[in-house]
Amino acid sequence: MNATELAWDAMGIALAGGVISLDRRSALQLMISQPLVAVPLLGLLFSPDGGQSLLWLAAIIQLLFLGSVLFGTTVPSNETIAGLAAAGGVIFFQRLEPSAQASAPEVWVPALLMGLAVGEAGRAIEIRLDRQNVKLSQRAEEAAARHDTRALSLIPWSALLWLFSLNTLLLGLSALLIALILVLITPLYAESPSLSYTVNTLAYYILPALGCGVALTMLRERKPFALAALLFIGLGFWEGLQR
Amino acid sequence: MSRWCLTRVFLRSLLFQAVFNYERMQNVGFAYCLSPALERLYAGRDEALALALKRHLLIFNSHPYLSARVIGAALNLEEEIAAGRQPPESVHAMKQAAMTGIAAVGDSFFWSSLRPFLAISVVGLMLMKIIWAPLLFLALYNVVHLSLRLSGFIAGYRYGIEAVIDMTKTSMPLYSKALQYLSAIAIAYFSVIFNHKAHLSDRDLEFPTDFFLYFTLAGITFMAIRRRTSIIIVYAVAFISPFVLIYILNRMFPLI
Repeated sequence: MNATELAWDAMGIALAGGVISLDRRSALQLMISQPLVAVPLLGLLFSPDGGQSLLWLAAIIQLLFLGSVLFGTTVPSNETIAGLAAAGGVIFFQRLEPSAQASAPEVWVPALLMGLAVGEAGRAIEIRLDRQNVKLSQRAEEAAARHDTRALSLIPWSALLWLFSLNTLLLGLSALLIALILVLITPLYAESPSLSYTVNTLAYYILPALGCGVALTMLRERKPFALAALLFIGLGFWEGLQR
Repeated sequence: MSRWCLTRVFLRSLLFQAVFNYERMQNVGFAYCLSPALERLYAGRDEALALALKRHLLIFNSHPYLSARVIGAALNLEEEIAAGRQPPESVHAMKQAAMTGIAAVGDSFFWSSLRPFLAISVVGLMLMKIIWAPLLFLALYNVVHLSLRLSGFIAGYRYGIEAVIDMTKTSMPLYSKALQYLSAIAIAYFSVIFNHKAHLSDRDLEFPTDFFLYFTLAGITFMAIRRRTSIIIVYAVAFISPFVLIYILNRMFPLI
């Protein structure tokens, strides 16, 4: 893959990610920005295998951020940015190393962990823009005093443009960086195969369990929680008997 | 109010949170939604238009979907105010009275019940390699979301304050409770599937990856996180626990 193709792909992933990220709070809120939709969508558009290798990644990120809710001024880590950055990194990695298996834990586990950090950067952007929006609110007051509805109508679009631009920039850079780190760490696996295998395999077991733990936190009352625990044990025994 | 104008107000409500800010929250969104209608109501009365826009730039914070009902009711009241049948203060009083209750109902139903339930169920389907599962999530979620948003806006515009009072008698909290039980069933079922998939994988470490380990980890996470996903906990568990486990396992079954 040459540099021009890589640049076009970087731009495409960043722009698509920037548009998808607007859905999280600012526009529509149709839940296209939820990782379980956003990650496969990005894969469908850009991944060589149509996004099939990203399904597991999408599922884990979705579960890890299930409790992430924007209540009023509470701004949690940005799950959309985390998912899109990790997915973008894996897609680039697939382009750079076509022979590597993108669905292997050696690829998606580090991509996911780096994606979580980018999600924190996305959160910082959101907080910054919420502060900046105070100025836009004052500008809206001035427009209202001038009974200028046209100027007032442009203000939400200006806020959306800011969010889109910053998220696009963040996603483009972070996806490229994640892909480069993946390219760099792949040879290290060969240096110490048993350790890398063990660590990534344990993460392969632990991260879904973490996700189930987060899902359990969504049960606010004791009765559904007890029901989940009993059903889990019952189904586990039944599944064990079948094996 | 013409249908076209009402449609414009409703479409604008889809950008309700675009200018969310720490001082007055969704105030700009509210004024932005209503401005085409206010322009018509106060045509040729510039001072009255300025005052109407300013009324809607006061603090407002509620659930974005159910706020469509309040937007409709505010539009109804603005017609009354423009005709001189209601005092201008009535619309802000209605918004202040409605926003907290509506936020509580909406947050509990959409963010804490419907979205987690559908997400858990669809994640389970994705693990079964059902590729179109995300489309199912989008379709089911948005049927509920958009129908409540649109019907709320229409009811708000038609019945005004009555429509907002009706929200306090809604059965949505009951649906939230039912969805919590359904989520519990989905979590249990898909946790077993996760565990089963881990068993079926070629990733073998010669240690008991039984469902007890799974549930213990899930339980520990639950205790640690409670109601928020902390990135530090995720990192700590993802990075530290493998090394701790390797150390323990190495003592038990020397692998490395």
